[in-house]
Amino acid sequence: MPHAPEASVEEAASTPAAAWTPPTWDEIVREHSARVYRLAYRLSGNRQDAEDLTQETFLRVFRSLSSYTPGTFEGWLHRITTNLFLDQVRRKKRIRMEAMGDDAARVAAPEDHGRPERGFEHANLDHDVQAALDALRPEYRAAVVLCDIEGLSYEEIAVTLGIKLGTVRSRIHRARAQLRDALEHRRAEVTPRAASGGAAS
Amino acid sequence: MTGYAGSGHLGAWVSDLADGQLDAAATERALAHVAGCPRCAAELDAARDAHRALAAACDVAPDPELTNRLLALSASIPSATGDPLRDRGRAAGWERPQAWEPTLSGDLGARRRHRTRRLVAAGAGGVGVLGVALFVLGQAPVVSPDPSRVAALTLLADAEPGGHDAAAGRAATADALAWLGEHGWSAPAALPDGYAVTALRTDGCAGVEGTDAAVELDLSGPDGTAVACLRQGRLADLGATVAEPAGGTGDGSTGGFAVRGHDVRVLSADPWHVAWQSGDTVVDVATDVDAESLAELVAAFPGSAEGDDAGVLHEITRGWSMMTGTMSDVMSDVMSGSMTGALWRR
Repeated sequence: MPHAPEASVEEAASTPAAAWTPPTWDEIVREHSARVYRLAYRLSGNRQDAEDLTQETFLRVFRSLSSYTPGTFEGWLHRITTNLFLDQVRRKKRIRMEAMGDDAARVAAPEDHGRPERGFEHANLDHDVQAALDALRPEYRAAVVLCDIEGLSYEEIAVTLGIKLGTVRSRIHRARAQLRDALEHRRAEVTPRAASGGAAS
Repeated sequence: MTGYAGSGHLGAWVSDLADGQLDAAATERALAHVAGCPRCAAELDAARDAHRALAAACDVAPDPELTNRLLALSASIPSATGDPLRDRGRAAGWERPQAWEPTLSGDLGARRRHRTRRLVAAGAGGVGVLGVALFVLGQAPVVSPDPSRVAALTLLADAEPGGHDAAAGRAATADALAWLGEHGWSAPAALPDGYAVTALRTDGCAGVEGTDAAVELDLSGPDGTAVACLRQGRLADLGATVAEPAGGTGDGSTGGFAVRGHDVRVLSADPWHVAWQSGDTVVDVATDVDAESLAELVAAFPGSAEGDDAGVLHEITRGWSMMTGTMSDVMSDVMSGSMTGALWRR
């Protein structure tokens, strides 16, 4: 995973402490919004929710800037984003129980994945991965996304999610097992259908 | 981290191995096992496949429109001044970023030190003027919370949403309750299970007539959000409100129930907006939780059942704290470090 911000941390470290000035809001947004959005998208599974989550995260960052204490900005952002996401999931749980069937409609919605600049193959592959992610329990999804997409170490994930290292391990382990099953299932489903050319069903 | 001990199947350690999270010795032991164990070898392959599938997922870029909206946030959102939990660290807040810090104390780290210093320093000077403070506080204003449904919804809409970090939530809660205690508010000793304070503001309940001291407490719990306003004064007579048994949850706009010595008036039922007198403080709570959780919340606040002595004691405590609170700013400026250094806890 590319970690662009490391360069800026080094840059800051090479200048005397007194010379360090807080970044402007503009700099913060431009430097971090893509990463926050990517994480938000992989967690929430669709563009609209990802944008809402990103916005909520930055809103929180903006409000708490005055009390921000040293630590990497990236770690702070990861933590706010994932925690907001998990919080929202818990809140929505009750509502979703009453409105089952929404999930299927959401996964099938083509507009999130069918962006023209992507190759069709790639978009399809990505769609499968995202659908498999969406099927995971939110806690598992958060752990495995932070690990495989954001490239965090297990220690960093433990801190971000406020869980023990052993819990990180078991969540990633189970998440991957379920991901694998889901992806294999999809491949198995797609291949015969393509081969039989519509003769089925 | 102990790592894979080196006997038996890898189990969940397969993930550590696939992610390179084991140290050299443990990696060697794990690989040695994998070499002779088809089952673990297959699991390792599967873990690596799953990792690759995710890592290969194409990057998603935010819409430029979103970036613009984010940039515009700074212009549209008022800063958090007036929140004693937030604006305290302004001076020391921005320091050089350091490498990843396990505490990640983004929100509430450095404040405790600050506050402790202020209060202890002030304590020494507050004694002489205690009487004056009590005299002023004797005139209790009448507090009448806005009973409209809109008012309750507005309170809730502005509530700070809860974070998900349980540890940070507990620290914030302890900080907030301690702050309330030190400033003489009759605060809950502890919140019901799962509840955390997400914000504490001194300007949150502004705009209510006759109120010169108010604190807003935003709470986040397992079932929803609650906003509690603490105002110094006497609760206004809100019309024909008679206490009902605890089970009776009035569905109209006025009614009431009793919880642990609190005579709770219901201003609105959807969302809940209730008010009661707690010592010399009027507490009103707007919340989207169910009636049962609301009752738990109400019960968390100190009761008025202890009798008049408690009220007087409250008043004295309040007077003391208000005095030390206002004096502290002056004191910390006037008194030099060498003079008060011994008094300051660090």
